[in-house]
Amino acid sequence: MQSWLRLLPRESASAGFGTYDERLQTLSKEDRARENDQRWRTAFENSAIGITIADFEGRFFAANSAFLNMLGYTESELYQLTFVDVTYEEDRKENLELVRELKEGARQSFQIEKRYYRKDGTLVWVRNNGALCPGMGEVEPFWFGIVEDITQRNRVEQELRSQIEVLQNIPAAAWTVTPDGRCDFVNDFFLDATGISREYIQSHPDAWSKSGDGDDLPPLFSGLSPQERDRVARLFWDGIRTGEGWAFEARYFHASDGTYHRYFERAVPLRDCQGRVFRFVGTRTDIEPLKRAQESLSESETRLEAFFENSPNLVFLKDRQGRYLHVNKEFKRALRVTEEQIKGKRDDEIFSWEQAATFQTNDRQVLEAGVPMEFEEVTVQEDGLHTSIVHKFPLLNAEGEINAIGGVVTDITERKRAEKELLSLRDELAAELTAMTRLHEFSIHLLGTQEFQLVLEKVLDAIIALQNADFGNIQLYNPETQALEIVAQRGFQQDFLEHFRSVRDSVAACGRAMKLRERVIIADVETDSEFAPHRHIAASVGFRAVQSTPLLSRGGAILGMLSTHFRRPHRPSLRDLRFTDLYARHAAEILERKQAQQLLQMTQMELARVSRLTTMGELAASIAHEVNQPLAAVTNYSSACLRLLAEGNLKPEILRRALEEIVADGTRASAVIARIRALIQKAPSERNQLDINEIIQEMLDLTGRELYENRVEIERQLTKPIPCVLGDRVELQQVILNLIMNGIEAMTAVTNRRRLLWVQTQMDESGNVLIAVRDSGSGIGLDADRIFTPFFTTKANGMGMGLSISRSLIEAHGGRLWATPNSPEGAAFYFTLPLTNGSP
Amino acid sequence: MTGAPVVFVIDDDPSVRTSLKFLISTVGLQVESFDSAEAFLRGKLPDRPSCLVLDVRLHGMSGLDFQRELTARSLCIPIVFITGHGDIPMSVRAMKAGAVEFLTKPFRDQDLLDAIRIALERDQARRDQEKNATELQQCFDSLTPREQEVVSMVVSGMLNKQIAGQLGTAENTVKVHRSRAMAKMHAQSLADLVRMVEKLKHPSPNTA
Repeated sequence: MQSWLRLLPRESASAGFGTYDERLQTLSKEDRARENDQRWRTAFENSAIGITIADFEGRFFAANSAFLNMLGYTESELYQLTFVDVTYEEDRKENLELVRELKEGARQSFQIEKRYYRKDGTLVWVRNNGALCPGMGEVEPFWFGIVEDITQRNRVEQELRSQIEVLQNIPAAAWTVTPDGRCDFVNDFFLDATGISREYIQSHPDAWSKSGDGDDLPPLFSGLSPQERDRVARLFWDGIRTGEGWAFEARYFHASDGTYHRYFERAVPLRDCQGRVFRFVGTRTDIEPLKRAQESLSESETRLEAFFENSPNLVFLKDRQGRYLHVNKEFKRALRVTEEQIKGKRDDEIFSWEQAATFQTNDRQVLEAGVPMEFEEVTVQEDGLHTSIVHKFPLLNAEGEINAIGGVVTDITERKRAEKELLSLRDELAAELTAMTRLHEFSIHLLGTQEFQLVLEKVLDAIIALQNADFGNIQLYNPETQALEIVAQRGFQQDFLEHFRSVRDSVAACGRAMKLRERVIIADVETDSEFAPHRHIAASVGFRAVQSTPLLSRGGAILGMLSTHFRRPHRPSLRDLRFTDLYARHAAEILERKQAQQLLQMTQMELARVSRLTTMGELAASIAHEVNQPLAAVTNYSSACLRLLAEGNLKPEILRRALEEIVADGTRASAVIARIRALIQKAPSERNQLDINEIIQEMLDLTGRELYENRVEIERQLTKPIPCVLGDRVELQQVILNLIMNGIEAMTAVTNRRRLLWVQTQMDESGNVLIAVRDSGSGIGLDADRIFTPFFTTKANGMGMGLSISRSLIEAHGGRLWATPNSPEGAAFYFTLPLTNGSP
Repeated sequence: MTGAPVVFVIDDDPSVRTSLKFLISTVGLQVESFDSAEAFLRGKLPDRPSCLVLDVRLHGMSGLDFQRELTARSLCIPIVFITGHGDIPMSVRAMKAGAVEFLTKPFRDQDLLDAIRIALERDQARRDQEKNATELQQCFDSLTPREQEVVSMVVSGMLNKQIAGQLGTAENTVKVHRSRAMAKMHAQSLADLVRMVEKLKHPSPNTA
């Protein structure tokens, strides 16, 4: 040491350094030597870098504290060792080699990065600059070493290298940038992504690694979309400057498809042990697919959101515990809850106890079953109770566990109401349909029987039953008198029938209804002022309320009236009236049809009669002619003979001849008559199977008016069933009509007793059909048969042909017609008809 | 002059025909009978006073149609209708069409015979008239044209002098023509002549 120290100039006492030479001249040689010495010693001692001196054997004989600290030895410890001892085994060979070269003069110095063993056995990387100091005077040659601890730096560099290794291989564009903004590494991915080739980088290192001009960006950022350059430049240079790195999203040109993709770029600083940034390492990731996915997801999310939110159904989401996660607009509106009120709450915290209980029970069912289910739930809303169908379904997470319940609520209140209405309507219609079908069948049945009076009476009964009335009547409108006349009634006494015999006024309900052509309801006759004139009769009969429904033809003309009467004040219900209308319509229809039928029948009869008359007329003409010929001949001959006789010129032969002719002609005349009679008496114009009861009923219907007007009561005793007779319908009709009309006429004078026309059909002992028509009229006297002679009549303007013709007609049918006095008064006419036709 | 009158009976009933023939013959008239109008028409109408006793009802052409047919043919034979049945319209029609009588069977013999008599008289009268007319025409035709001229002027009231002036002859010539014409016409006076000429111009209708 001492020898060494002698070499070193002493450090001067003063702090200021001045040049060595200047200093040297001012001092004594020894002092200068000492100062020099000091100076070198201080330098040696205080150097930050480790300095060693070792001899040629390699033994350390000087080391500064930096070196000592580096290795962790004390001075005295170190001087025991050689540099080989403290050199890492693997590095020894190289080190020694270099030393040898130095010794041999092959080199002046060497530099080696090697590892020393520390005292504690750990390694430390150093850079060792070794130089040979040749001897000088007494000083032997020695090694001089500068030792720099590069542990940290190596570590960092190693890390960097391994990082670069990683970077090279990561599936993202990666690069490193020096602290001053130059790119010194890019990985292959980067090259693929940007389309830049490694050859370019390698052949243009300066171009590539320049850091950019001013605020401009380095070539690393080539490919950045032009719009982003300013922003990115700012971020980059700020990041470089602050050492914080940078992160941003920007569009870069994507080589593979030639479009701009969005990239996420992030650079972080790498610091050494002193905290200084020695690199920025960054990656750039193509987030275009992600972004697109995100966008599309967000789009579909938006759509779903809109869907959920705007659904006209109430939609909700609950978690497993039944807390509301999400509800849509409709839910909030209908149940009058806000987002805050419902989010995170359970049903029992929001709704009434009963409702909540139902909801929760249903939720539980779904959770347990694990399948969608349907429930009917009732909620209280603004406008009352609402019934809804709720579809609840479990929502599964990725593991297949139920983590939520979804629900869609369809309000069926309206639908239910409509359904109920429909059902009740259907029931109503069914009831009406049944009633109408019954009515229809009923009327068809009645029409079939062709019993007009019976039809009306049955309709009346039906109406009375339907309305729960106490009395009722049906009136027919008589167009001649323009009045209503009762044709069927239930429950009334004679005084009522007399009082309302023929109604023309518009005081009584029926009269009013006739005038108005509309139904009239008098709910209480006592309080109806217009009804006053009839109150007494109402009181005597015992009715307080009455309704009259007009029976109108299809053309709107009045056919009759249908009235019902009630003991108590009463207004029939709308339903009753509706049904009454149906029956009334039916009754009107029946009346119309009957009227038409009657008219037709009468026309037919008239036609038949007229045709008969015409035939008769023609027949009469032909008879006259046929008979007059021989008669003329007879008179001619006779008068001729008389003349000749007067002249006295009548020769016997001439007379004889004349008389012969007369006889011949007379015979001829009677033959003609006989022939004609035979013609009349021939078989009737038609032969049909006829029901005599039907014909009788027809004729009674036809003469209904006459009977009514003449107050003739009919009593029928028609044996049913009765066998058919073979005959001419029109002729039999004529006979019966004749008998009925005669009967009516016979009773016109009767005032002190009932005018009764009694019609009977039965079988007689001989197996013929026997028909009897009896009246309570003036009778026929004892010589009953005289009335059948032609021209016998008691009528002022009668022709007296009726009965004689009737007799001929009946006889033509193979029957007999005769009359007897009736008891106690009147006449009885009988005729028989054989079952099989027997002509005389 | 003319033949004896004849009655034509047309009736489709044989006994009526024979009885009528018998009856009518009792008054001395001739009778010819036919059973249909067509049968009668086929025959020739004799030049004697005649009449028809005709039944309305006939086979084939009816009596009334026959009446019309005769009128159409200008056969002026009077008709007495007889019928087995008659109605008023029929009889009115027949009478309007010019029948002498319309009788219904059986009729009184006298009624028929009276009707026949009237019918025959009518026919006779017509014949006479026709004959007269024919004769008159012949007379007139025997006049010379000049004489005819003069006659027509005379009856129009012209004086001889005027006629002479008109014709451009002497009055005397006119007088001569006039007297010759009158002689030929057998007219006794001017009035006669006028009457004759009238008759020639307007032969009177041959109705009863």
